[in-house]
Amino acid sequence: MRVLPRVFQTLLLLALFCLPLAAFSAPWEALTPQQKEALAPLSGTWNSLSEVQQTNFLAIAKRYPKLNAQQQQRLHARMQTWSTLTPEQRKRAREKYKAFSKVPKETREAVKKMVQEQQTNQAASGVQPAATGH
Amino acid sequence: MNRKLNTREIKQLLDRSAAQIDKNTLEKLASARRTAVQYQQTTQQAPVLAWLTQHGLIHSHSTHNRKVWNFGIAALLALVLLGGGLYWQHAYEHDHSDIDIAILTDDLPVDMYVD
Repeated sequence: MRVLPRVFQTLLLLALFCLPLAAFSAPWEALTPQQKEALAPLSGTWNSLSEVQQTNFLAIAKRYPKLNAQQQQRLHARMQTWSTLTPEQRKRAREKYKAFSKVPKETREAVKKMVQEQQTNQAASGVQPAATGH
Repeated sequence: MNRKLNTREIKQLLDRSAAQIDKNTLEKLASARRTAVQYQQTTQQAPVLAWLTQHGLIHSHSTHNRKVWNFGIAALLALVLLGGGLYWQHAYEHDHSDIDIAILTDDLPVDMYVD
């Protein structure tokens, strides 16, 4: 039993490290300026998002500063749409993205080129692009 | 001439010296030793247990009591560790930020992946 005190100390330290330190959801007013900047498109709807969604977006916001300007712009343009999808739709989208990532690079590039051409044609003919962001 | 004594020689010298000490002094030394050993046992008590005992929340003077408390605290810590582990596993499984960022910054529009 004499060994136990040291074991307790070690376990206590381990337990402290195991305590949840993840970013919890918070009202918009409580976000940091950096988080507000990253999540700016959601300023109006933030407080109505579910706790899970807020936690997910906070995780995204944490990595926002590391993105380049184009990626930040795309993220902002698509964020609102992404937040309005149902959990099931987001799940399916992730699955599709993963599946598409496994497709040979040449095929992926061909698809991207085709989509870009479609978008250019739509823009030229005055058709509104899809509402889910570009 | 000074020469270094090895451990065995030092032990022999100490034993010889101890044999020459009078009974009264030996008893005092034995008593001091007992006190020191008792003190060490007390200070080696688990910090939480020591704190609880110090504040009168528990009276764990008996070895049995101490064992029960030690077991209780160990079980509590194990539970906290288990809970923490499960939480992190849950958080890891639900952290989609990697893939979400990839989708939201991809060359292809989001509607390509949405039903």
